Amino acid sequence: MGNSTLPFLPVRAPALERLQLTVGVADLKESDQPHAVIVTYSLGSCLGVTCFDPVAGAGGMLHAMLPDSKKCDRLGAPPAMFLDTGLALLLENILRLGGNPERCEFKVFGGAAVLQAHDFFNIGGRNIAMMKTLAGQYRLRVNVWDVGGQVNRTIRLHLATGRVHLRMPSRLEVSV
Amino acid sequence: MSHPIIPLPQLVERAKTLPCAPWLLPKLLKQLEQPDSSAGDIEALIKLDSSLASATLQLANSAYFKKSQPCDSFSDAVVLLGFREIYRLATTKIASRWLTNPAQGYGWEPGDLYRHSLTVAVSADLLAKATGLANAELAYTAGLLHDVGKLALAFVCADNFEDVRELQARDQCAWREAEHRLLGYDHTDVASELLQKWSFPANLVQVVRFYSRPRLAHEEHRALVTHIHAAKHLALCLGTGVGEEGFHTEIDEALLREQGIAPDLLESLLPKVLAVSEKLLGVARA
Repeated sequence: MGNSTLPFLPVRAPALERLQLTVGVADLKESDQPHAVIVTYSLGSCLGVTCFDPVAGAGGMLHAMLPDSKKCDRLGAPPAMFLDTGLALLLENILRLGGNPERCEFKVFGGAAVLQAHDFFNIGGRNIAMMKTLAGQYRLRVNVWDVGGQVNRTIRLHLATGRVHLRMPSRLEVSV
Repeated sequence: MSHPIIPLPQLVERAKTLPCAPWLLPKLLKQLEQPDSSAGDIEALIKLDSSLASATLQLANSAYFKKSQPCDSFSDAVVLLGFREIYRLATTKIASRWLTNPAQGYGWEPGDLYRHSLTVAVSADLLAKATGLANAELAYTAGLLHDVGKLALAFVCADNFEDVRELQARDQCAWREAEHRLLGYDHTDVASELLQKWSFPANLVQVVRFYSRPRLAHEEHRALVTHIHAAKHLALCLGTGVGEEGFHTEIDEALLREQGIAPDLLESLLPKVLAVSEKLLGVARA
């Protein structure tokens, strides 16, 4: 055998495997890993709130079911069940990762409702109203409000870009 | 382009060829209604279906027993959980086999119909216990079954869905109404035919036929049907497994009120509905 004539093969850094974090109902997750994707399925009347700090590369997602923790007497309910306590915790966790809520862009999804509902099941509408109040109180920069309507939403926050991929049954996925 | 419409009797015949028809459910229900029914009777029935007992035990283990101390025998699970809980778990398994048959339609991801139906079942069960106006096991079973007609429609008539979607979007009517206007029948008619073919009792036939319009139900069964109507809306709030048609459903708020089901009561049940349905669906909490 003569000298090896094998061509020079550049060594490629192994591609980072995508890290998927799934947020359940009444749950929140955050990360500062650029390859992380944070997902929550089927928002229904619940609200999904994403936040992303482009400088720190940190982001998080909340999937809250009800607007107000003060109106629930259920002991042991997780803070992420409610928008008021869930949002406070999300901001706290982003700060812990070196993010700054003032720099963050927020996006809000969900709050669907049945068209003819008036007094019953207006949870979606009340969630949206509460989020608007909280966004004012915390002076959050909310760039996207994809809320209301008669549609179930699934969202994915890509920390590499800060974009959110929104999926609804029988419709094409869109990036916002 | 419009697709030909399949007559209802043919649709029902074709839907019956879907695997895992819930034929054991009416027998279990009958047993449950016997005043002198025992755990042993329910156990004997469940064991008629060779894989059902083990599937039920598996579900009992994931929902109720610690991983470190699983319950190893079906008979022990019956003793530990009681036959009403075993009935619920077995019913869940029976319905899940039918409801997870793959079918295109309603924008479902695999398993969505089962996840939504289970959430309706859990809501109906908790609501019945809270009001005391309907039998909880029956309400649970009714919740599992309420949308069986949608699976049959999606399985047989997927080609017509684009037209239904268009009609619904154009007229902003209930999805069921769009189905009815286009096909001459809708998923509630299909479900009612199917349940009658499978010899289900009249109260459950009434549920699948009228859950979206409970005022039309026979007076004798209206309380049960109204509970499923309310439970359906509770499950919609959670969103689990809800397809494209989900929020285009009817609501009769006046009847809910007449039947003593108040908005505050429903909302107060949501956290428990979430906790129980996640347990049964095997959703792991971090």
